[in-house]
Amino acid sequence: MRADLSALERAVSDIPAPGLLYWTMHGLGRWLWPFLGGIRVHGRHHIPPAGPYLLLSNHQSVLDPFFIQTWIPYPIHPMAKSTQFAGPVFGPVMKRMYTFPVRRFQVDAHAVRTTLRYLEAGHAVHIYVEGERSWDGAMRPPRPGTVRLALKAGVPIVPCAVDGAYDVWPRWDRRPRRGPVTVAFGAPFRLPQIHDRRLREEALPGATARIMNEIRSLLDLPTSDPQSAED
Amino acid sequence: MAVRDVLWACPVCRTPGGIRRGKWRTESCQACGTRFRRGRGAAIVAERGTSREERPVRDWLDGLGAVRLPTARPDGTVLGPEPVRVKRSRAQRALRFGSQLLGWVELYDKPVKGAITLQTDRLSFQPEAGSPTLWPIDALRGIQPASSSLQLRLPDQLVSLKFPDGSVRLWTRVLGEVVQDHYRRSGREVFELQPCVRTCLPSSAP
Repeated sequence: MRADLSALERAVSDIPAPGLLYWTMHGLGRWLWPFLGGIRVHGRHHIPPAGPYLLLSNHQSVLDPFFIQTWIPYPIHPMAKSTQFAGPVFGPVMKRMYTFPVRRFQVDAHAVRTTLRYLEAGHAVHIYVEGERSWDGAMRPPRPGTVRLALKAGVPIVPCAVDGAYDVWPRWDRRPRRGPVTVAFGAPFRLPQIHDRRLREEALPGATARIMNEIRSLLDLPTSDPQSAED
Repeated sequence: MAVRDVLWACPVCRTPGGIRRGKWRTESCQACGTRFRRGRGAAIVAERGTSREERPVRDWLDGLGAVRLPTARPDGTVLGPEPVRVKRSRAQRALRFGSQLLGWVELYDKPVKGAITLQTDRLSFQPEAGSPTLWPIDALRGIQPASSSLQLRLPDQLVSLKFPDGSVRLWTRVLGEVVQDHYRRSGREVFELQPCVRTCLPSSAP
């Protein structure tokens, strides 16, 4: 196990350092958006000076990565659906933004391992807990897989909420518009680290509610019930 | 990505799939003629004659709760035929950054144009050229809507259906109902559709 972990840490340390593209994209939310509607941020002091931690947020718009990561002064690893890496332009950009893929329709064991590997190596990982962008701007309950991962990792969780991004670019429209965006970071909290699968399943409902409440309460986000979220 | 993707039925006349793409990317209901477009922020404006109503998406969606989904016609067709572009993925490639294996990415074939029809026991895809493909309902392992496409997991492939004129959410809803009914007929209940179709006996539903 120790040898395995060393190999993982070595693999993580082989990741290229942030380049010009990273820092340019990283600064877009902070430096560009004030001219395109304004961006307010609350709770920056809650962002830990370093990992490991899980940043869990809602997902309103395709622009959320720019609005959120711009406030984190070091690279963080966002999880994104694997199909986004397929394009000849967007794919390489995503990699250079330290994003890693997760395949849908399955429990992607490799994505889980990658997440744990980053956390074990002291990095931060960003997951959009709803698993997809909101259709109507309301926050949906976290995906069970994300909550299971949080319980398995046992690292601090930094809740983060974005509001206004849905009005800027809802997922059903082709173009963004100008508009004010608010980002809020909450105080880190911990869920118990549970290795036993059965116990983790028992803890799932409570942990789901806790994560949802921690994120939602930051900006008093509207929520949608799981039934209406089915489609 | 369009209004019809989020409003899977016309909120004015309640026709499922009524909103279609028109000329110049305008969208209007084929049944009542109401035009829809994005208003302030992410609100949706409905215009008909001189009347104009602007509401947030959530309010429009609340009004769709009582809309009845299409049911099977005598020939077993539930929905369609609908123009569609189909992409299939049967392989994956490794994604590396530096020397690190980040994960795996599905490789999709080129899209094939055609028409898709949903029946009570299968999806039939008729390409513009070539023979039709049938996907039985009980071969579906997962259903996942994206912003403008519906993705299906089958035992040996992923299939992505993009509807140039129709509503992806309507297809998702109706397909979900068809899957539920299909398993109900064989005495099982579907307790999860997305991302995986998971069934159980009614007595052991979680």
